[in-house]
Amino acid sequence: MAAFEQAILGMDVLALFFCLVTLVYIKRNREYERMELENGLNALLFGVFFLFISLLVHALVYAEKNFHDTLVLSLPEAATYAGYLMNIADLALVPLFAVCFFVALLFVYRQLAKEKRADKKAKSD
Amino acid sequence: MALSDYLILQHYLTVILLIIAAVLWYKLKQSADISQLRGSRMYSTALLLTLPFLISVITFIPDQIEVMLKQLLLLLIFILLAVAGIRSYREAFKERKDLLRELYEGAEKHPIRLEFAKHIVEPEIHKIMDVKEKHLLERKSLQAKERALIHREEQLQKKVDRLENLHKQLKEQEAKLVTMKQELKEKERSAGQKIDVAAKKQSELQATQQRQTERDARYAEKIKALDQKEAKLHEEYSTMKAELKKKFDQLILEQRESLKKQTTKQDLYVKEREDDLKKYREELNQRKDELHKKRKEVDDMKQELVDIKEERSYLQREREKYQTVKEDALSTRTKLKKEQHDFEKDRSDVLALQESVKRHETKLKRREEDLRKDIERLREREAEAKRSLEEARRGKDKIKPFSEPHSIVWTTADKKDKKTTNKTSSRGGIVAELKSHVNHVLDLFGF
Repeated sequence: MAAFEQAILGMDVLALFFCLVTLVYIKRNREYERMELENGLNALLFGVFFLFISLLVHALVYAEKNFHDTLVLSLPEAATYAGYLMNIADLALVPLFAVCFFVALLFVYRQLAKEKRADKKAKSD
Repeated sequence: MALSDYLILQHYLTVILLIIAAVLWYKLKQSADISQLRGSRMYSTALLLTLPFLISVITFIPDQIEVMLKQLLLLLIFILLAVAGIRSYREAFKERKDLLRELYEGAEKHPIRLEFAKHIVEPEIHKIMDVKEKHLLERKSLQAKERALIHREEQLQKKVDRLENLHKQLKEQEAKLVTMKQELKEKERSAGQKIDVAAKKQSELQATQQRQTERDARYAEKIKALDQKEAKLHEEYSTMKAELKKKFDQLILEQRESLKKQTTKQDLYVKEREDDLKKYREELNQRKDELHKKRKEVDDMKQELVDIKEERSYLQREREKYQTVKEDALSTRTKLKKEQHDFEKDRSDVLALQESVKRHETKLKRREEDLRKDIERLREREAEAKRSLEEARRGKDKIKPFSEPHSIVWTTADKKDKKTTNKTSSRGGIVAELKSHVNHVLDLFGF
């Protein structure tokens, strides 16, 4: 059981690191993106940020499970708080990520559709 | 609805939203050209994030496997996302670099390029170099000032510590003075009590003395009256004795003569006379008894007189004792007066000491306040110096990129205009203020 939780914690930490890298590179890529399509990347950035927080909460919960004996001494209610955090993450943060991602794609879709219509109009003219 | 139901609902909502987004993306991919979107690869990869949330919705997978799969997928997708992000960034950066290089290579063949470089770029570079040197010098001087300020601050801190120690010592002395004051108050109180007791004793002694003199006067009057009474009684006794003797002698003579005259004839009469004599004898005896009684009374009075004399001597002794007590009281009174005088002296000394302590305290507070103000000013100066240093650094940073000379020239020229007017005056002002301030602080500490 402990090995399983340790493995999950390790994967969480790694995912967290790569999520951070992704956040940094989305921000860098934004500088080279066209202004009209920048809103989509902004929404994606927000979504990944919410996912990052969710992953952090997940990592904290698994850290609490792994280091329960040492944490209990300083924070006896650690397990309860971890449960609350997990609930908040599942209830709010993950759906927020989904909404942000959906909005990002909607922005891109609308912009590209608009450009396509404009091209068609130019061609017909 | 329970929390678990909400959680399930939210999971489903997430999955549905992600699936709709995926559908939208693939529709877009088919209809429009997504190659003009730089982050298209990132969007495509991000759509894979639907999978882990889809797994969490599927119920027939065991919990542990589900968690493991979800984490594994999340890790892989984030790795892919990071790679996609890095790759797209590199590609974009490479494109931008090529564009910039094209611009640069195109300008190389321009005919006035050398002239432009000689007359416009070179002087600007020289100016920038000068500004840079100036900034370096300023930075060095500021660093030196900063070091001097730090050194001064350390010295001031030491002085503050010393002053704090002095303050502590003063506080301790004050506490000692307070205890001394309390002791003196206690002494004063005890002395007052002693004085009160002595005054009471003195008043009591005076009252007893008065009573004694009144008693003496009364006793003297009594003695006098008794003496007079004694003399009177003596006189009465002697006169009575003489009268009785006279009467007796006369009666005897009369009886003898009558007896001599009426020896035979008046035997009865003699008998009667004998009876009378007997009566007279009885009367005499009675008188004798009375006299004896009176004598007894006189003896009693004499005894009383002796007692009174004894009492008088006792009173005399008491008076002597009282005199000694009075003398003692007087000596204690003088002692108490002396103590009171000493106490007054100590009190005045304590008051003087208190005043000096208060003066010291006020002086110390003033010094502390001055010092605090000085420290604040020094901090402000330090902050100002740091700010100017920061500005100098920022100015230096702005100089760095040579790829955009126009903007740099504009900023440096702009800065130069400002600094040439302000810096000389502000720096001189700061130095003068610092000097005056340091002199003021040194004056405060008497150096």
